[in-house]
Amino acid sequence: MSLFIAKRFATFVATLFGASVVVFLILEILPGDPAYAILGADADPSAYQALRKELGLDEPALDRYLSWISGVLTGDFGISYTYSVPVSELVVERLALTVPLAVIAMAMTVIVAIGLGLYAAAHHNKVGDWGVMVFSQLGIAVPNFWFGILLILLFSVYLGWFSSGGFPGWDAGLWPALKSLLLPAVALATVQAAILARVTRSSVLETIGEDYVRTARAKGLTRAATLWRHVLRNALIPVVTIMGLQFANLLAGTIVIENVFFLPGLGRLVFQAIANRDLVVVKDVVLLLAAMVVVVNFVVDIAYAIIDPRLRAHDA
Amino acid sequence: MSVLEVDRLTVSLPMVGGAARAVRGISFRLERGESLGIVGESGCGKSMTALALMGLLPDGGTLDGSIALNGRNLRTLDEAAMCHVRGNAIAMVFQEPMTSLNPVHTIGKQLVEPLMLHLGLDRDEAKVEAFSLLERVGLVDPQRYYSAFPHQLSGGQRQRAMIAMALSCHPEVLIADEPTTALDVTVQGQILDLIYDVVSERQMSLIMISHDLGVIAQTVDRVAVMYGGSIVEQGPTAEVFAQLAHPYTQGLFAAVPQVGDGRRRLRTIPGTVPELADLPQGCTFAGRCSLSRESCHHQVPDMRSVGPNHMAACLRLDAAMATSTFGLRR
Repeated sequence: MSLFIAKRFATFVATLFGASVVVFLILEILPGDPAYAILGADADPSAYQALRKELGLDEPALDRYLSWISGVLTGDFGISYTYSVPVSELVVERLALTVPLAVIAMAMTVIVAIGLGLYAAAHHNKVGDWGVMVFSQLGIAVPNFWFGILLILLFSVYLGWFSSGGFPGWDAGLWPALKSLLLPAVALATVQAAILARVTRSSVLETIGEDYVRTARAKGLTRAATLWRHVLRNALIPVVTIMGLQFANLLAGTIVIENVFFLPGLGRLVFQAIANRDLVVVKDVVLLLAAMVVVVNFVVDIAYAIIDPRLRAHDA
Repeated sequence: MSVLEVDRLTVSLPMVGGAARAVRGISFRLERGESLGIVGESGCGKSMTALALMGLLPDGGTLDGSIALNGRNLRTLDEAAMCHVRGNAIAMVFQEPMTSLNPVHTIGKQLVEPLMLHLGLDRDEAKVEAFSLLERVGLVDPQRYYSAFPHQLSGGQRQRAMIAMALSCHPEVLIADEPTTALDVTVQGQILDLIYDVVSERQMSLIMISHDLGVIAQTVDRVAVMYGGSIVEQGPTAEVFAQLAHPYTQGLFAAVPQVGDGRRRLRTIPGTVPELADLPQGCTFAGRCSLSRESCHHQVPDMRSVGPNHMAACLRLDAAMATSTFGLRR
């Protein structure tokens, strides 16, 4: 087990190193100068030069990379150009929105997808199955930002049940805060649930054909009990794999959805930071997102071992 | 009254281009404590017969005829009542012990399931019963096997666990579908002995399905030979083995390799098993039979008596029995 964790940690470090190099290089290559972004295009040349020196932009690229990384390693994530506060403060504040949003969306995804997938498989080639397949085809085809706008139109403009965007903060109380995250979470979860429902359906259908499912039926278990006790857990392995991959999609989705719903989350932060050439923020947030994805993959690996006892033996 | 009485059982399976009749009007009886062997090649309908008895046909499969358990026609039961029969009155041991157990649950968890379902035991009582079942099937040190996962056991041990599961609710009928086919030769005998012992000690009736004549000869009182979805010969094992009546049975026996025959080509039955979706008219075996005449291709043979309780379905029985030179050397 310790070997497993050591391997995982090495992967973690290597992935983060790779991500840091990639994001740094991309920001080097992309046109746009933070000093101009701050001062405006017709800035006084001497003020421009002074700001570049103050921000450290006149140093060679390698030096800038090393000073960024050494800062990150010692817990100093730098100061945002636009907000003039430490990036760590900004990020922690924004995570308080984005993490709950992602968790709610993921929970919706899992509940809806597994429910629909099981239902469709249990009604294979019947009306219920076709209904689920049509829903999932629609869900996959609809872009989440457009679906978000439709949700605003229906539930905010027309029905008036939800506000059309913005976030009152957790200080405003649990329910108002959760309420403002509900529509964005639905917009995020729809596509993911549609994909995951298909994966669940086909995985359950495959598992239903296994010999041990016939054994369970031969013991006298009903179809429903067999599905629940013998099929579901075996069918979960591909489902969990896709769930892990979807988490990365979900994080990317928050960038778009937080802009549609004007939510001050991590996605909106990174979007605005790119527009403002707030390079320190962009680099740090991308690194954080990469770290989150790697951690989720680690959790997925542990989930495999919990689901399937055959996978436990290898690391013992 | 017979424990099990099957009358003109027909099973149709949906196939591309129409239904295939996998089992075509077979009839047999099983008395209490009696054992019946069903023997035949792959695809002859023997496993489908077993699944039909369990009410576990593949989706879209349909039944005709009747299956009476202690006089009660199982075909009139709804799904809930059938669930009460399965694993309780009729239990089954399957061919593939490697895949017939759920890989994510312990043996114990799978074993207590029918005990709690049918006998109404609570978890602790079921565990005590499960331990004694495991010991009975030869898995001594039941604590270890109870908490083991299937992948930690050998094929023979898994089949023992399957047998424990099948025995758990004291079924009246045990169906064993090729229980030793997937096992090492060295283990096959042990598993057969185990099945034979528990069946006789509990006065159960047994249906042993196999393509292996050796297995059938060792374990059963009566034998039914199936070909192309029909029973072509049926009778007491000793009778049938002494006087092989049907040309297919004769061919099947002749194909068993004998030690001491020296180096020679193995005997086979020419041709292949016909597709169930496309069975010929008349006798299904006519196309492979050396005795067949024109009439065999048109007329379906009825069962005819050839000895005490011994019947065969062949239009050319006289010729077949005259040429019968085969018998199993025991």
